[in-house]
Amino acid sequence: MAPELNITWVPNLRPSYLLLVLFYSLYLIPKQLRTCDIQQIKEIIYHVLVFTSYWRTKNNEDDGDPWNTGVVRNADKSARRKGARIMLQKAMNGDLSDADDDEGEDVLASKIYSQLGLEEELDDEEDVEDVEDVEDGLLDEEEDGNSQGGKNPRKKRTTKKKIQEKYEPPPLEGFESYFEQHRRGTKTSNSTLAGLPQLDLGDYYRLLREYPLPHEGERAMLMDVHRENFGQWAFELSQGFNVMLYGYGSKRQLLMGFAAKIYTPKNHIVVVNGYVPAVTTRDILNNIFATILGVEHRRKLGSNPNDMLDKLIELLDGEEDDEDNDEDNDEGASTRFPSDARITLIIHSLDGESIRAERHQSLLSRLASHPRVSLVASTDHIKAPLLWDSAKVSQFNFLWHDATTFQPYSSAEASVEELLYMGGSGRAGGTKGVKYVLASLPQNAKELYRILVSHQLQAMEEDGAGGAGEVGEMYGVEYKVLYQMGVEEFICSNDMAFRTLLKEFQDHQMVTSKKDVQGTEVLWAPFRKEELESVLEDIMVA
Amino acid sequence: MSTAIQENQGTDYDPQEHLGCYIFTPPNASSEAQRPPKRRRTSTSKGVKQKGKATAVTTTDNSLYEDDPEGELLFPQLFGGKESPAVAKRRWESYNELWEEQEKRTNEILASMNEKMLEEVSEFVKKAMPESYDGKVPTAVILVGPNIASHGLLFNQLATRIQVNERIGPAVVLSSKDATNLKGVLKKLIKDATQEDQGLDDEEDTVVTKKTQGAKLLNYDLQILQNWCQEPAHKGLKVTVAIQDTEAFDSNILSDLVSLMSAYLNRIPFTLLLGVATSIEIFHEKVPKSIIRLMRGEKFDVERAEECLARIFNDATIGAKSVLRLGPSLSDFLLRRQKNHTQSIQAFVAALKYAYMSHFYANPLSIFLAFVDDLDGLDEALKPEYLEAVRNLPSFRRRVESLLEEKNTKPVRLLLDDDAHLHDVIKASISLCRNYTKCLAQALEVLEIARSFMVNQNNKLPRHELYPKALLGELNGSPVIRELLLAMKKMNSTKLVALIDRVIATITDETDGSLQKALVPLRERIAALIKDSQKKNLNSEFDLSVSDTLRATVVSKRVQLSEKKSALTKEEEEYSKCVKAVHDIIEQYFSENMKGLEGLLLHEVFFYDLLSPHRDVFAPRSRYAIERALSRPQDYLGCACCSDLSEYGNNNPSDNPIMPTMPAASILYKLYLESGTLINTFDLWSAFYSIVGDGEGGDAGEGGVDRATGQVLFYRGLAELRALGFVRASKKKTDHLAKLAWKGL
Repeated sequence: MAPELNITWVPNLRPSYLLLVLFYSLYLIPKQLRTCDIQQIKEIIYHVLVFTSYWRTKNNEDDGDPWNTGVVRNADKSARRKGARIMLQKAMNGDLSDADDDEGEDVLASKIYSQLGLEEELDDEEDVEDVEDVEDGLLDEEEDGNSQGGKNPRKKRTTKKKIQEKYEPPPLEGFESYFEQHRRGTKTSNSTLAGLPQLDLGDYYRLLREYPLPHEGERAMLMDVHRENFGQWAFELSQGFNVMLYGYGSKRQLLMGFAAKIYTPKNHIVVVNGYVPAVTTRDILNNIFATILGVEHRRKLGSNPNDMLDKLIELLDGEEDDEDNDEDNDEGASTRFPSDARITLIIHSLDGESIRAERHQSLLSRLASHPRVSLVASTDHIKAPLLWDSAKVSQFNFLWHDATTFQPYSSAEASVEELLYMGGSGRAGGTKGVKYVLASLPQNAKELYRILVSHQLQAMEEDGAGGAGEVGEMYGVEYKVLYQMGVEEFICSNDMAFRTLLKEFQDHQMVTSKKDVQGTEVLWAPFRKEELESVLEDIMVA
Repeated sequence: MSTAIQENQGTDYDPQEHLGCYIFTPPNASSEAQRPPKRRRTSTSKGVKQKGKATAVTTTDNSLYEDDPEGELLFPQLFGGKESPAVAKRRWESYNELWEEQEKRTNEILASMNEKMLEEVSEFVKKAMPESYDGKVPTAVILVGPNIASHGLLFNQLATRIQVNERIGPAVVLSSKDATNLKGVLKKLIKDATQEDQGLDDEEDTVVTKKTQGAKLLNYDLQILQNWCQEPAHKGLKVTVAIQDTEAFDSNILSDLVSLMSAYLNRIPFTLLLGVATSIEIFHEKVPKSIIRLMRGEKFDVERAEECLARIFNDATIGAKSVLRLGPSLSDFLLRRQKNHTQSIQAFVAALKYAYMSHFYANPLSIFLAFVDDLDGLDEALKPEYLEAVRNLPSFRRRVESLLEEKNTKPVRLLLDDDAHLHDVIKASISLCRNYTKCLAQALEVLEIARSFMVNQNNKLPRHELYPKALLGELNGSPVIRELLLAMKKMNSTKLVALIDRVIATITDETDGSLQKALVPLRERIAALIKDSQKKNLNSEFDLSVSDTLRATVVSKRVQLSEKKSALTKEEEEYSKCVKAVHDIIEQYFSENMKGLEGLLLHEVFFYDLLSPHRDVFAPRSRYAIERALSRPQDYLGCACCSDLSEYGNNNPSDNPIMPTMPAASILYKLYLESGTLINTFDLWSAFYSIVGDGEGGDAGEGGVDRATGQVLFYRGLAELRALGFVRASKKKTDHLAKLAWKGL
């Protein structure tokens, strides 16, 4: 049964595998596809073909044994399955000859099987093979070498070894590394950041200020190199192009320097910090209006950014109706945007998360395509060019310049806050936030949380495995039980009050609830043991 | 957050950094303005802007420069600042002048390319009456092709044509961006349609718009448009609705719009234009059948973008009027990009413009282009540094070297030492360069014409793709020409005469009369021969095809050949001689005019061929730049401390090792490269700290940082990697990061 199964699906695997590989390589390089030429793509496809044919030849080497072709491919990574195969083979053949040899292999196979029984992914393939080699060596010495069962796997192993040698050391670049790292499977240790003391945000900034960044001179030199291009950029802007800076390092300072350089009373500059989470296109347009009309303008702008943009473009084109100005006739002349003035928009991180959405980008591209608006922008994300389709690209009309500054990103540009609390199960806020929330809650709520946490801790203690392990509902408290305990401790007198207290916790993600199989609701605090302990400590101290 | 801000009110805290958006005010405007412009040492590519106001210059409106001669000069003074301001200004002016001309021609081509389609569509709109389409909405489906970047321009042209030139009535262009809901679409439709009138006839319109009909109407009520149409001033006008990107248009809104238009059709004379980028079939699938049944009309094809590109390219490179042309490698690069990445025409025009910009901005010798028609004026401009620059040109060096090879030292000495002689040489080569391009352009044209007479029309490279090859001199003696000449020998008299006529007609220029002179008598001779002969067609002896037999042996073929040869009439023998002569003349002509520009002195001035600025600016490799900065920071920083000159370097020559002095993000990135698809954050930290740490545990050297600082650096580096898009937090395991990018892909 098993052999047939394998034969049927192996041939199907090949074309689909090829497709998969092609898809991956093409999918992974969409950025390059824009910039690389056909020759490069050909090269990539060539490599992919070489790569797949390597797989094919490798599998064809076992052709003598038809059902192996399927197994080997799969078993490459899994010694468990390899062990299984040997055992299965034996059972299938009802192999009565060469009992000694089979015993040897068998012992090894079942050893491997039991050793790694539960692990689907093999942790260290090489090691096992070494074990096998050693075993083989021993067997070779013991027996005459005419055993059939033993020969086949050994031959296979040597060919495989050869290929592996060719592939060492593992490549760190290009698509090979991608396949290599996916093939190897991921094996990481179970250690967590809990072992690392938490760093306060305040301490973080203090230490950061105290730490003298190396390469001061070199960075200043880089900045100077870029500064020398200011004239060129200004010229490019004047010719209707927009300038885009890319490269590693914060380009804020550089761009602000450029802004100071090109600033004139007639060249209005609006700065946008795309990395600030709160920035909206409305803000940007409002600011542009403010710079044209003065801060105190009383014009109705509408609320829809698209309408605002239409108005703005009208204003810039100077096609506005005179009727609009009739009402404020005396100011009319002054509020009109002088015909020789222009607007320069400086956008730090055009790929910032808040303006990354398509509608923002299309609005900005329309704005940037206006002849009286110049755009100087920077991007940081490696996939930033994927933001725009060809229409937007042609509207933005960017000239790209490499502005690698090596200036450290400010905390606003690359937010650290989240990382600082990575101890909190990767959840923003962590247990730190819990402390603040509890401090602002009434005593009753604190008590309730204390009960929950201590109950949960107790369960963890009893289980013995708590701590480094997963946080989960297995240590939770049943809703009714918790309510009962609350009533007993005079925290709440009815279900409503209890619900209200819980709601507060749930809003702050301090309590998670889930209905289990029987339909009973289980509540628990989604933290690890150490965190729970510190929370409990905080509550008790307060 | 509040604590963070308080903590941060130290030296480096900038409140503006956390603002979403604000108006820029210079920190020290007054002192800034008085700073003198910096001087520059190198003469290439980098310039300092002349201090002062920025210009109000737009691409479309270059006339501002002439209005304002004292205006802005954005060019640096080259030669390390030695270039006189007047010359820099001249350079600036000639840039503007030349580009303006080029742009004008380009725009004319662009406009004319769409002319035919515009003509047809506006004709359709003019004639379209609901009655002639069974009371359905008259619809023109315009297949505009996949190049969405040019659609906007096209539809604007269409709209202007319909409402301004032909005065058929208001035309409203709707794009998918306007179509968030039906209300918005109708509002825009009504607004644009009714307002348009004000621009057209100016006396009554104030009255017209103010006149209300009693009942107040909502501003998206088509009744407004109906009223507008029924006003006596607007009788007979048609309302054209053009939908620019039908595919992107929300199909529900589109169907609603069409059904509304159909409902109002007896009151408002609508015409619908649909821009379809894909195919009609796809459009059919998008819209319900019931809606499609409401429309009736025709389909129009827009001219091919490729043809448009060819015309613009030909104009810019081999056109007689252009002064600065594209060099071989750059034009090859641009054409390839255009072909392989379906760039828009606008992208090509931008690249062309950038070539002009870059040439005039950074190349001091570009000033020669200002004097092409006034060679005597050049003398003033030729300062010693220019002569020096000319002597440094690769083409100059090549000239000198070739002279030296011929052991001809005297002119070399003159070229190198005698400034006056160099003056003359420069002047001579300027006109040589000009002449060269003219001849080349003509030769290419002759080639094109001759090739159109060839029987075998397939695998023909278009002219613009031959151009880079011709500049490199690869065309001379290439298969393209050899085949052509062979085919020419086999031509019969009718064809050959036609060919000669066409060629003579194209070379009416003053450039080179020799070809014409040589061809005219031959043509007359052939014409006379045809007259004398009874045969309609004279065949040359070269066209003795043996294909009509089944004889396979060599001998039999030879026999047949000689038979045929002897069967030739006297006229035909004579004709064969003429064919031979024509063949030789044309061959001679090609070999004379299709030389590469290598040997041309000063070709750098007339052919812009710097590849790297274009490649950097239009096809940037931003991801590669970031990866390189992170993996090899010393490439950018140029510092000794991060290079692998230390003891590590010898062991591992393939890649540079991780050095503790590298920026934190860099170290993390290198560790990141080595790791698998999932990364344990704590392990990453341990590895990181073992590199930068002060080595409590042992080996790491002095100068390390303590744990807390290490942690700070670690967090920041990680935050940077995350912001750059290399990692994100993974949910698979606690405290793990998922790898998102592989280097070098």
